[in-house]
Amino acid sequence: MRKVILNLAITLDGFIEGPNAEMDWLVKDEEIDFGDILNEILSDKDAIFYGRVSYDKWGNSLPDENASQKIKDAYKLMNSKQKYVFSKTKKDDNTNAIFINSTIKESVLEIKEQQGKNIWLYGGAKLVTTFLNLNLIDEYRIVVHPVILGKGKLLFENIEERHKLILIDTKSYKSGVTMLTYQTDRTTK
Amino acid sequence: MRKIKVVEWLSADGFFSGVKGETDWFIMDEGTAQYLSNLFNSFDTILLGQVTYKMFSAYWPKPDPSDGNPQELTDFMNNSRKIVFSKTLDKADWRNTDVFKTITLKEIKKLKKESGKDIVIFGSGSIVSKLTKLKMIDDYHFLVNPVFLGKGKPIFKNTEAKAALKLLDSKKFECGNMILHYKADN
Repeated sequence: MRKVILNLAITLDGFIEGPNAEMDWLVKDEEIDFGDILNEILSDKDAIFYGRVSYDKWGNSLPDENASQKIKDAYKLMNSKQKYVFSKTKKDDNTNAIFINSTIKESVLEIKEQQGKNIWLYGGAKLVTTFLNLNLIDEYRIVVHPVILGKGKLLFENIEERHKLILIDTKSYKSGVTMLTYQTDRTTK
Repeated sequence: MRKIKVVEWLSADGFFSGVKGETDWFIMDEGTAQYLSNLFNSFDTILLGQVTYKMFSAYWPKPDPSDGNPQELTDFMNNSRKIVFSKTLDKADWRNTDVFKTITLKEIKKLKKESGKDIVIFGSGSIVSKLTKLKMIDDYHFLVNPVFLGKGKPIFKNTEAKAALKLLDSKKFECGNMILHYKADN
């Protein structure tokens, strides 16, 4: 079955953004640029789940004209994936995106049963919360940046239940960034 | 000079306790216990904020046997020198505990210059935050447990504890715990 995978960057103290949505704390790795990150995320996926707000903002974004060829190619790859948009109201936007207006759980389970690669849960926060509460996320790739921020927006704030995880992989980068890959533990409750 | 090291248990979503201070999600295996035991052997002094002090001083003198704490950990907690930072606490009953009313750079520097083993801080977000700001922390051990709490207490909340750290090493344990060990870039 296809997996729904959340990729995210987090500070050591659990923040995903500064108090004013700052992302300037992201530690740059000289060996890895945004194109590499995008390629890595997309490498095992052929579909992307967006919340409506995130989709409107980022769903059809194009790279900067002056961006490197690698980044341009990565965007092209991203835009070639099947996009699903979760929205209560919007039904169509004259692209290939599929809009899901209700029955999130049933729709997602059906998509997961279909043939294909894994699915990137793009966000935003509201959709991720809904997915987590419905127990629809299979894997988390959490990139822990070696930074203490002290304040900001937390990854989760009011999730109903605890979720047990299984640590399946870890990887450290030269920049001090560590990627922790967890699977949802559905064997125990 | 003695080092001040921070040791924190964290959930994978970055909380250090549940909403009501729950820590029942901590998990332990042989590897984690061994790592912590080695680490604790390098300490003889514990710094605590008032909240963590109250929690620890209520627990460690008589730990619940069903929690399965190794005796050496209990001994470590009870026998080490403790310093609790509190404006309101007049005296501390837990063995070997002194109360410091304020945190001053001078006092902390003096403490670091005393002879002895290293100094550890558990929990105590406010103290870690202040000492981070004063650039008095030498390194940080975060024990990341394989669970999302979904809600809880962040270790820092609206503090000035901003710091870029250097990853020294990391270690994965069988139960899914992960140690991330950083050095402060002071």
